[in-house]
Amino acid sequence: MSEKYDVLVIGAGPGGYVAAIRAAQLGLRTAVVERDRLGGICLNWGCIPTKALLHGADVAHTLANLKPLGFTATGVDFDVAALVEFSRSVSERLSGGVGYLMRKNGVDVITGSARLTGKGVVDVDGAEYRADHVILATGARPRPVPGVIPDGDRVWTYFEALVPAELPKSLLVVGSGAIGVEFASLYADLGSEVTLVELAPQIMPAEDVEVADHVRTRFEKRGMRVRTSTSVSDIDVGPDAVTATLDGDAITVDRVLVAAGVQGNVEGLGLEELGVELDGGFVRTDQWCRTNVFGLYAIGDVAGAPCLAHKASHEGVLCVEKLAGVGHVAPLDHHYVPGCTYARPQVASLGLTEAQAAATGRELRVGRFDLTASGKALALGEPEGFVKTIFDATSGELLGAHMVGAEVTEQIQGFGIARSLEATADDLAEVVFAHPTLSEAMHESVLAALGRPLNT
Amino acid sequence: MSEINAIEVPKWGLSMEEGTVTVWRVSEGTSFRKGDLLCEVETSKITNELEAPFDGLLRRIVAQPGETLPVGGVLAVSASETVSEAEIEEFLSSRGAHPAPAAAPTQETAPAAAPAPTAAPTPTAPAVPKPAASSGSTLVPESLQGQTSGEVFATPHALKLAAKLSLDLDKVTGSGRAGRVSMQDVHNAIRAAGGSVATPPPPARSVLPGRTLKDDSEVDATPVARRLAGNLGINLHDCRATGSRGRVCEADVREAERKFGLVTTSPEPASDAESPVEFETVAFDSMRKAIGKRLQASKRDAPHFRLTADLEIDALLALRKQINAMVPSVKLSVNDFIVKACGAALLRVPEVNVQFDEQTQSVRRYTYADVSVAVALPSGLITPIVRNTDTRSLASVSEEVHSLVTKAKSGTLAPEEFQGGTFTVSNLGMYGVREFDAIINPPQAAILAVGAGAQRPVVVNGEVIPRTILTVTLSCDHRVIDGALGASFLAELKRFVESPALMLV
Amino acid sequence: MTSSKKTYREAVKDALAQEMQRDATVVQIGEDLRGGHAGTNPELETKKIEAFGGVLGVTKGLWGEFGSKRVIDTPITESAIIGMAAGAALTGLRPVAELMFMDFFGVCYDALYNQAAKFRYMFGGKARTPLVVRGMIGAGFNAAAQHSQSPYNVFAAVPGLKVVAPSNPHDAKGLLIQAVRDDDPVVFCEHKTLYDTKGEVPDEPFTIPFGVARYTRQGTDVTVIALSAMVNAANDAADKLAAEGISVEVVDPRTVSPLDEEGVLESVAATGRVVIVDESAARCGFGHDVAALIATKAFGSLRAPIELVTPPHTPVPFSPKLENAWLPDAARIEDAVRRVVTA
Repeated sequence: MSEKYDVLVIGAGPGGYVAAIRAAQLGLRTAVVERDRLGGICLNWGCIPTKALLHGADVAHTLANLKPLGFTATGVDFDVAALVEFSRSVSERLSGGVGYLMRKNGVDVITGSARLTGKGVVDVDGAEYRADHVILATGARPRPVPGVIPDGDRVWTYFEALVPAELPKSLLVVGSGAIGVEFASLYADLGSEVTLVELAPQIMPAEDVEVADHVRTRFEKRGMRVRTSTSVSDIDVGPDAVTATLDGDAITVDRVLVAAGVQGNVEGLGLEELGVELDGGFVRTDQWCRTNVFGLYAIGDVAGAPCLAHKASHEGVLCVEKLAGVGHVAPLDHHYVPGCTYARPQVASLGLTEAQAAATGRELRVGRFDLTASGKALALGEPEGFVKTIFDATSGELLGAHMVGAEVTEQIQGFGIARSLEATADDLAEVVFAHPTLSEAMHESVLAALGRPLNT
Repeated sequence: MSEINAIEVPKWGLSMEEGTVTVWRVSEGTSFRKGDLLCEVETSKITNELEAPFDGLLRRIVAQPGETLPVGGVLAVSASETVSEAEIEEFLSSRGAHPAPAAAPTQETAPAAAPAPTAAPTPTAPAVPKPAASSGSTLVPESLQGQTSGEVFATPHALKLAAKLSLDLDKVTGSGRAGRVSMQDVHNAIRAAGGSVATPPPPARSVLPGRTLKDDSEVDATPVARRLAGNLGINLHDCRATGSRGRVCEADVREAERKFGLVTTSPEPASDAESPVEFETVAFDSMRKAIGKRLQASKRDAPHFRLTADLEIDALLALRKQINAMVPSVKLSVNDFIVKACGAALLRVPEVNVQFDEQTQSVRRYTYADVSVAVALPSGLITPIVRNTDTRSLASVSEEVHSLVTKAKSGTLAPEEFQGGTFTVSNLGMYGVREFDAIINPPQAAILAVGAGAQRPVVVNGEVIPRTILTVTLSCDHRVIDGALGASFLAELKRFVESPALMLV
Repeated sequence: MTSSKKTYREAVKDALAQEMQRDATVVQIGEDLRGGHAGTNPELETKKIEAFGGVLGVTKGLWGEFGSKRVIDTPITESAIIGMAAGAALTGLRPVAELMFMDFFGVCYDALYNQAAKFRYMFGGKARTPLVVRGMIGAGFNAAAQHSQSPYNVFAAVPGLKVVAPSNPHDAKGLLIQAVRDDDPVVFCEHKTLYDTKGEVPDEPFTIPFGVARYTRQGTDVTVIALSAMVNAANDAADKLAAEGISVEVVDPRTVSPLDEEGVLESVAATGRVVIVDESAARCGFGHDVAALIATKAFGSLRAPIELVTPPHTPVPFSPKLENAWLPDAARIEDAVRRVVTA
């Protein structure tokens, strides 16, 4: 007889392992299937190891700018292999932590590749498991660009970009989403000559155009080449270099990084045989993460955009609580999942862009505050950037917040909390912000939206 | 004025007979507001929070955690500070509650409801001056005592009260039409003459009292204040609005919390004593107790008889396979078919679709079939109900069972999801059990025990051929259902199971 | 005081006759009071020939005893009957006007509702209106929709009118004498199915004050509040339920206006469970008024939702089977009691 679980989760990324913990907490017999490492892309190949590398890039930037602070450093060496090793060790440690959490909560971990062989029936490398509820949390992987085939050597995806054997002298980054922009910034800081190419009219197409323009200007000031509305063709991989054509212009680089978005991991799971409905390469779900198939759910990247770890975790909890009958479960509003890009400058945003907000037809109040007037930003030596807030003029509802500049990724949650508690512009204006902090810019931006800025 | 009120075990649901206190959330000597969480009471199926039915000051906790009391039993006593311990004792003994474990205070008077009517005058403490006659804690001053002589124009309840208190109604001035004396007049007269009047305990509610009296959803408040007030059980109408733009803010709710003297204390951790190693003693939790009590009563009181039938399910399996293969959103189990077939058969044989009321010796016959489905849990079992099984589609029955089973395991079933039902299906087929018989789940009168389907040889026209056979056993309460009736239900069930397409029309 | 077994009909007549003997200002006004021939036919006058004495013979014999000046037959003109009676009351007489069927009040309502009921107020308290309007109410007599209603709820909605609906011969006599002696307009509702019911009635005149309920059954579990003929149904239900161990207190308020609030509320406080039986209306009736009283003043005592037993919101059907189905009966009251005791 096969093992029978109440809940079986496929994939132990930030969506899957969180869903499994919550299910176990609710008293349900739970297992999670993982073919690779606990923690998924986030811990092993995404959020966490890139942040470790970016920490190195920050140090490089600091070293390059010691002079105004009175320091002189000589004889500084850089070994990229050591930085990569540091990054890997961070991932190892966290992955081990997930294993501990599984044991602590009594979640069975099944190692292998899962495949649905029927409703509520899962085959893992020949062993059959049954479950009343099966949650797909298989995540996503880099989306290929036509004609640009990653080869793991000259043409990279983020997997290779995380563990470079040596620093490329020049790097062509194809795609300017969060991944492309972060690696472009990272390698530029470490000393590579970077070219960033985007098919859309602006880089970071999901962000507010003002933010994107600001990042582009900053990148270009740092010597990066940025091209938008540009397609890449004729990739020619040679033994020592790659030649590519950017809308007719030939360019020769050391390495190419393909970062043109992600696609859901929907293959090889037996979804087609079960009649699971897809939507643009992702699994189609309703507001409670249910698919069209009995007892089958999908959360996180495999269930579609925004493909972010925190969205996956949130969906994991809400999916499990709903199926277990816990009261007061609310569906997730995808618009208000915060998005963060850890480039230099950092970008953080929440809600509608100004263009999207204008398209709703509502009367808006838009506030903007430049960090040039922020004492703390000046003192940190990064006085560029701004905070932009968009409110409904009638109700004072916070529709969108867009931040670019120093440490904005740590601050966006202020707006997230405000939004969640339904604070209005007036409410935010009444909050006392500490001085001197970077977050004062948030306050000033709100005051500007209300037409009464103080420090501009 | 001395007012003593009892906090009683509430009646949550029809089958609730007793409750066990698990933890007190308010300690003795603290005051509380109506709607505050006082303690948690575990019943046979759920643990629920007991909200204060009125404002008060908790003077005495009568039921300690772990103690089980019947519905209406006194859990605790609320009274103002002016009420003496002796008065509380007296109140408790009048309520038949056991006295406090603490040292008994000097008994000042014989309890009003003393069990021995012939008892001589109180032998103890003769030195204490004889107080006015008392009933509960109503003290009638001597000036009003006596027998009502002649005809006094009074309401029937005022007459009754006067007789009970040995009070002379002639000495009470009536305020009603034509000078009629009401109960209120009697109370007023007692107080005016220096006596006291016991406030009757509020009547036991059959439903949980509401948290707030007035809808405060329109009160302008900050989100934090609203959430906090909700958690503390404070109505926003009771808060001052000192926040910006006239809103109730967090500070206002905190102020109300102080004003109402709300204090929550955390339960004291259980001391872990050394346990012997030879065996582990596992105390019955209330679910085990409920299962034991109900099923023991059923087995003892209901004369069970059993009818067994073999059902051929090859057609059912074929239909199931076809539906499951073609409709992604549906996954029917054999049990779903059995539950649905029971619903259909129950409407055909309504004499089985009943609840038996032992007290009035009558049956309630239902026009819809609410089929309970037994779900095994690590700590026992529970029987959530698929309502209106007769009118639901097979897919709907299946979806409901699927959802109820997960809720049962998560402990998130609401009482109405497992209380009631007109018939139960218990299926042990998944454990490979060939056949068994089940104990009736009262007040129902029948239960179907379902075994595992398996290929067995069947003789058809002299030839032995393999067929998939499922054995079911119907247990009936002979007080309600006779043999032939049970058999006709099984025949209907067999018809639906063996011709499953009938369930689709 | 001696008493004897009398019918409800005899009790009403008894009250009228005794009051007429006691007080020369008491006069009877109405159709067919003495025999359906109106006017002053000299032959009949001399032979003292009486016919019906009202539709159901209630006043038979009064004309013979008191003569045409005090027992006045009128044409079929309700507005004239009540208008004349209201005016007579203003002059100092104590008229008892008979409407036959209370259903006909619509024809003369102005005289009652906007005149007689308001005199005391309009004349600054200087006028008294000692008027009694008698009439039959109630279904169960196969008299169809226009002769079967119980509109006491309509009268009770008018300030200035007292409304009485006795349920038994004893109360009928005591309350009617009180009504005659009362200085305000009183609407006296006699249920036509009660006329032949018998009960012990004191022979001497006596009064029952208005606004004093009578508990026809005392009990501890449920309060059933009923009026007029419904009291008998409530008593039957109570007796049957008592055998099952459900103790029912039956409260007969006897007067709809004034209402004995203590009599109702004290019983509710003791039992915590209430069933109200009302023949008047499925909506805006006496039952709803009492339910509102209990909900506003005794909500804390309630252990179960209040149950109302009323007819459906339709005219009274003529078909006997339908009429029986329409009318609340003991079985429906029993069901309601079971609902409240198990709630």
